[in-house]
Amino acid sequence: MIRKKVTIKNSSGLHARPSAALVKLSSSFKSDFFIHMYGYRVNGKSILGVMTLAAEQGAEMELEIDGPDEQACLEAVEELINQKFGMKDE
Amino acid sequence: MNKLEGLTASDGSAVGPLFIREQSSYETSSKQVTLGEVPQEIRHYQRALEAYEHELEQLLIKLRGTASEIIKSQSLILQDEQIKGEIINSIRTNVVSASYAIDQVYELYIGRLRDSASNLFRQRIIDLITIKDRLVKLAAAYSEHSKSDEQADTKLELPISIDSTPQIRGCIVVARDLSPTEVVQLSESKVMGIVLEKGGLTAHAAIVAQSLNIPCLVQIGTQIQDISSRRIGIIDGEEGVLLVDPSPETIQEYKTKISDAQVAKKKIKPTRLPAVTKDGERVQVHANIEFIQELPMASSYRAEGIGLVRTEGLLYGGLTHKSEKEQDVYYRRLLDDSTGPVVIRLFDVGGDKLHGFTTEESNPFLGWRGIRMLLDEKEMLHSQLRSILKCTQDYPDRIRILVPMVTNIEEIHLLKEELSIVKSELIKEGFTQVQDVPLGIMVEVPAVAVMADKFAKEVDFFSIGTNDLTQYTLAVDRTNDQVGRLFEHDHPAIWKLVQQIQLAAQNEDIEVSVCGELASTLLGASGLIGLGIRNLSMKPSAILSVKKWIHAYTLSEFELFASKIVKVQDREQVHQLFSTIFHRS
Repeated sequence: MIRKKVTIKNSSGLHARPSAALVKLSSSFKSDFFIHMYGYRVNGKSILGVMTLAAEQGAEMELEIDGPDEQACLEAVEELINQKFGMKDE
Repeated sequence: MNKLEGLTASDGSAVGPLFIREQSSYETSSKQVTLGEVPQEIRHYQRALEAYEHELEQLLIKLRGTASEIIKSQSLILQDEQIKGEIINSIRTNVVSASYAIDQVYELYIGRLRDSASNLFRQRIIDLITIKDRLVKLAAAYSEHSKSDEQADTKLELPISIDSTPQIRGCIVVARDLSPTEVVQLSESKVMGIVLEKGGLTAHAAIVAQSLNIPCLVQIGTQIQDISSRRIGIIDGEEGVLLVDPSPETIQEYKTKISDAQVAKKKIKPTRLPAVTKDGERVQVHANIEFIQELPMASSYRAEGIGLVRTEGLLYGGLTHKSEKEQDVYYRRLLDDSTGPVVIRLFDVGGDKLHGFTTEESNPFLGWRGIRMLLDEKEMLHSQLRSILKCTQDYPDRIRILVPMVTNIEEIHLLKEELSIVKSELIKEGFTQVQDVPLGIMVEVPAVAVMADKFAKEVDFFSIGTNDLTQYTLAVDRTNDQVGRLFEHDHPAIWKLVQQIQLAAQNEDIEVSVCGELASTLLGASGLIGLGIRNLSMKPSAILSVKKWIHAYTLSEFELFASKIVKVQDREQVHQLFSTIFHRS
């Protein structure tokens, strides 16, 4: 199992469409994926869970990934967050 | 006639009977079930999911772009394995009906968003509520069906939502809030327009309404609760207002306007041509911008520059100090996505937006705001000036700085000192290519208008803010219901002030532009051009009609109009002259 802290960078935060992108990506991996934030632990493959974290720009969260492809999953998720979900800031 | 003010979320005007859409309410069918009923409740949930999924697929066919992305993310929520698991688990372990379990599980998540501090996220609550309500209704229908008829094969009539009822056709729908799916359904039912009590410009409902070309007002406030169905309403997208019970004349006026606009939309493509009067006089038409999202519209209508960037949007959402870095990103996006000069107005806010400032001002418009506040809050001022000056390295000769709420010459001197401090700091830090930028002031306080000859010697350009200038000159708060009708930005007093400002600027050979709403109206643009103003800046949606208007008349016609409106005694006469000279009935 690996854990890593990340910061949300895109201006509108983890709203519907970025959440969808995150869920889509993480669901393509076998590993379990959870996000820790504000004392919640939500399933990172659940769009409703991710979206209702209401993570704004600058929010810090901890990723918890456990499974056979955990390293690849972490790298992919981190890249997506750092690339601001491939969205233009809005 | 009643006039309710809101914000235009999707452009256009509409006339039609009002249809008040009540918040949907339902009774979740009996909570407790028997152990034997559990498997069929799970089936009801699964069939409700399938039915809803199918409905969304039907909607998707009609949508493109952002709107379709939004519906797709709704569909993802339905397919959320975690949620499916939680709902099925709840039916099993609590031995409850499908609709009850759906309600409980969704409410848990919705509650988290309710607690969220972010406005953007709270706007999404309505999306989730709609998904939940629809699922609950469908599940309840399946469950009713199975009770009334044990032969599950007979055809089930799915509950239709109120929005697909025929009487809604041609209406203006008034609702507390709507989800994107509901907006699409309304569009299918051929509604004329949508008015929301809440909502926001970034609400999903607003984005979908734009993509479907349905006029939409948001944030009209609780006043809509007093409206009843079947009364006639008019959405005026230009003014951002809803008119209730208008006179037959007003209705006719808007009907003509709407059909004119439809014809114009079909015939005229956004003109690449710059604005030129019939006899060849050039007028610069620029765009007023607050959000980055407005830039594509400005460029598609060929704005020749950004005449006003309202930066205070950066401060909203409870953030008092936007970091310099975030500002860098914003200004760069702005410059990347536009052409021509970009006039950045320094933060134009009152002290209420600042941290730790708790004393309420009894009269904020006469209070600590604009340059008055910026000179006291050096840290905030410096971060903005630093960010802007740094941009000049990569975007030379495009940026101008505009100072709001100036009343004294000394304020300009003080600001210039701050500018030179910031510039030398930046050079020391290695930003050696920073340029000096043209510095202008908002002319919005009558004192400055009257003393324009003195101010013109101190600055590089004027920008006339006709909204505030009107408010301060006529002593009217336009948001005050009792006196709001006295707010007349085309009052002769304003024309005389504009004339005075223009002459002062001409004598010192500095530029003047007008960025208030007056510039975006055909009457206003005519008078301003006639008075010698050659730079009008307006909301992007007005650019096309103003350009077309300028093309249709000669400079001498505009000048004739201007020469008369500075001499008349009231606004009525201004409007009469406008009709006579430009043959508008």
